[in-house]
Amino acid sequence: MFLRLLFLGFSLGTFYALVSLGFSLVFGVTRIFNLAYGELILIGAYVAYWFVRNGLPFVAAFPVSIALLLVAGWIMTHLGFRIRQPYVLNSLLGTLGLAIILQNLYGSLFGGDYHLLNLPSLSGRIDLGLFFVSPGKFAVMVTSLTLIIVTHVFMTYTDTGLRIRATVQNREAALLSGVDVRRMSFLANFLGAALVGMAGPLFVTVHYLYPLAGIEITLLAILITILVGVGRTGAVIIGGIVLGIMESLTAYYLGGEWQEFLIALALILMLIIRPTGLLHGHGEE
Amino acid sequence: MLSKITSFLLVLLLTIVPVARPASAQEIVIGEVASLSGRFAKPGGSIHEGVETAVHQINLAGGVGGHPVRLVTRDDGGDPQKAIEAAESLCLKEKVIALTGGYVDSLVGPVAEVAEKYKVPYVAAASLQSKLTQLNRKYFFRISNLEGYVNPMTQLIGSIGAESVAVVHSTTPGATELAALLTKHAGSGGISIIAVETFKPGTSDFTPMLLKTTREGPDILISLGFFQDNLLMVKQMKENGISPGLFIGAFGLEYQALIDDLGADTDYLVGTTAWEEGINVAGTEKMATAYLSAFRDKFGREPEPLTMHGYSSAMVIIDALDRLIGSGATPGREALSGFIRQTDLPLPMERIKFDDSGEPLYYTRYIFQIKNGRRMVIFPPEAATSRVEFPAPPWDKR
Repeated sequence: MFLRLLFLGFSLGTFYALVSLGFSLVFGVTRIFNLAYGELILIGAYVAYWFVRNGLPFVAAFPVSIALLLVAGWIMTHLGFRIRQPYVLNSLLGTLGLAIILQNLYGSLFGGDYHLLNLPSLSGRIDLGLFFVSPGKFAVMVTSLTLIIVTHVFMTYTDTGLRIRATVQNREAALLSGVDVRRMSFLANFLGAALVGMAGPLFVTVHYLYPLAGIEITLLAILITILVGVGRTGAVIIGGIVLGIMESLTAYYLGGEWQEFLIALALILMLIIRPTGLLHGHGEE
Repeated sequence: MLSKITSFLLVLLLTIVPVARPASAQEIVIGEVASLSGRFAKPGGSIHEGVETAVHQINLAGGVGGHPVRLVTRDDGGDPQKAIEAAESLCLKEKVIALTGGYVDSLVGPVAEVAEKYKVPYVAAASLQSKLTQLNRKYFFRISNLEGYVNPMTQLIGSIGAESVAVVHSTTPGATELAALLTKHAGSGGISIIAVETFKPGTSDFTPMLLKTTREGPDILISLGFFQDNLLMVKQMKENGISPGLFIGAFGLEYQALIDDLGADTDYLVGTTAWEEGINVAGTEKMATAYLSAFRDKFGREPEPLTMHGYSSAMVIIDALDRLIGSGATPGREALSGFIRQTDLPLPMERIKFDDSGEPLYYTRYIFQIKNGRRMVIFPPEAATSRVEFPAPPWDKR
């Protein structure tokens, strides 16, 4: 059972990592604390739900979702450059407003109902010997891991990735070194938007969808970003998996009522003991 | 320049100054605190549509004693603080004669407090927690109670020969108390309670909890979660090959959306409902037809079963108003509360009559099982249209 729970936590954690990756990346570069992040993920989720409900193939939702998010990312980047001081407070208020607008838009277009995609092609079970896993969860896990690894490789081994990371670490120093930080902001936003566009359709296959579901995603992304340290895209996977495993083990051995308490406790301890993040000092700096 | 400024100010004035609503002196205003957004938007919306249907129906018939009824609804967003603000606004600003609406006790409780403070009768459309009526409030009434769930569910479990039960429940007050009562009744009936687990609303992975509660193979798994929790639980049970003999969901399985989203995976699930088309209290068939007709006229589609809760709670207020006006007394909150207390009203869902604490004397849930995508009543036997299939086949045998 313990191994099964570890696998469940791992699987949940990879999904958590995917939905948090875009937030971590964009926040690291632009310092925009995007409170509408979860609502942006819901764009792809609602697109996928609408596609399937109208007889269109689920996979076709991915390019549409990514395209919509790239447009949204482009608009947000432009608006982001116009934010005046106090920058952090203004970006918080601006994205909070956007979140409320999107929540109401979803409510108007799709109603307040809860929805879940139960695709025949992703249901059923894969026998892994010790336990089962659904093709849907397996697909989400593999897609999440692939996207996280690709993003990590891009950020670690390409010139552009290194420039983005330099901007994350010290915007002023990067600027003095000749890095076009404005361009890096655009690129980070575009990369983040593409990741969000991928995460959206996957979200509705593993979690129910409703207009306020974005709030939970945003909180999750903030939690993981704080846990691993700002801008540490590669470490997001560790944060996601730690959180996923904590949730699974707590729910089984202690009970569901302890989940939030223990996660909050871990976060507080983290902020006291390692305020710069769980993996501070282990590469990626 | 001056004329431009004057024009601008005039336009601004016309835009921002609210146009006074032509209030009818005879109009009766009923207030509703409803969850139209937030976590309980789905059931809250269904109940709201029922309240709207009752008001629509009565206004089409010429109002109450010739007085048109106006409904003022405030959204609580599923937040107790907003529910309090909404109730206060309705009582103080809108000066409503009565309040209705409500779905969960975490929201009904605060509204009941406000209603008591301002002496406004409040007929809650859905409420379970026994504490709310044990306080012997003068202005609080509700049309549902815990016994209405516990009795049919424990009788069904006993009648099919189940020996063991596991319960998972949300941490909301009503669900928590229902879990305690169910386990107490089932235990005293000789049924073994092998697990009771709680979960927070919004849980995204129920698998560990489901694995834990079903590891000893209970005959029955009872879920006291809401629609969205059951949606996810059923999906995750299938993914993990978790097959209890029967899955009973006390709340939210009556929604057609469950079958629409999960398809054939909903077969054999057992749920409860207060009303279904064709299942009416004897002698109320014409009222049920009038209700359906009014709903279709207003919304152009079929109502959800839960909508009848909203309709019934509003009809209690309308019926009491009718008697109050008929008596020649001046319509007022205090007098209306007295007339609501004397209610004895047969409605399609149930005969509505209250005890001294505002608790309904009659309330019972029908139990259905989903078969081939249709809800078939399996309990009580006199209303059953089908026999219960127990144990349900495991997922890999379907």
